[in-house]
Amino acid sequence: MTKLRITVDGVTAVAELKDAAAPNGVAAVLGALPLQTRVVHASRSGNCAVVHDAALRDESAGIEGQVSMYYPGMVAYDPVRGYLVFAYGQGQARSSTGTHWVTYLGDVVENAAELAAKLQDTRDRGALDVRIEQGE
Amino acid sequence: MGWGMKRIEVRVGDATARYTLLEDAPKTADAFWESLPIEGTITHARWAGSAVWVKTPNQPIAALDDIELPVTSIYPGTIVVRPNPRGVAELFLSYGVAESRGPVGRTYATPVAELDGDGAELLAAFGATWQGGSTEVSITRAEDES
Repeated sequence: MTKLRITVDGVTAVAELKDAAAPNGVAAVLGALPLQTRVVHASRSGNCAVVHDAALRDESAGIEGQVSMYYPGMVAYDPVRGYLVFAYGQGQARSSTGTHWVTYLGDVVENAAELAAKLQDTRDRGALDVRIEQGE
Repeated sequence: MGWGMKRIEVRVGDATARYTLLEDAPKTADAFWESLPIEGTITHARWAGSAVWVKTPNQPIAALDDIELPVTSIYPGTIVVRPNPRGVAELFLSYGVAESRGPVGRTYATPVAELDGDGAELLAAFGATWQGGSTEVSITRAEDES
């Protein structure tokens, strides 16, 4: 099973990706790694933080295992916009034009609570550095 | 109410702008006016879009428990008030496309003030909280208020 290591402000968490349900999305995200960028709180989508990077954009990946709602610990991927979304609570894929579908890419399975606290911090602290790499 | 043109001043760091108090919802606007000055911390919205919000325990605005003139759209440069059951009032200050909403969908708020001019520096300061984090805000009666 493909894993991601996500490091924010000294906390490293591991997410397991849905190789079978979202093969194109997993391949697209792996192709962008390692990624050293910023994670910022969502402004319309609720309790989640977003990594927006051009390297993540891959329209050919399409939406797989489509979802709109986010739940705690969920990792979602929008290949058109180049967004990776890390939810720490309830949220939904929304923009100024309405709601959207995204790919359900995986779930955080290690250090979920610690990562959630850092993601929630971005509400008050603003964007934080994030490193995303393939896990073992 | 017939109060003429009452004006308030909003400051974030070095950025300031003036707003005109609206008369469309006189009870809420009057409570807002009587609650000034409001000092607090603005945080970027997480559901509403291009807006910041601050909560205040100041009276009488914090005691309001109804939405006098329900709107969902928060146009750029508008201040709206939303009651909160925890005994505070939530003020949303928009700098772009914003809507009063929460986890389950649309919510409602009462508009109380509208920006005079373009207020570009202040709106930019609001927008900067998204990447830069929360910051302090001061909302006061303008010295030449009417």
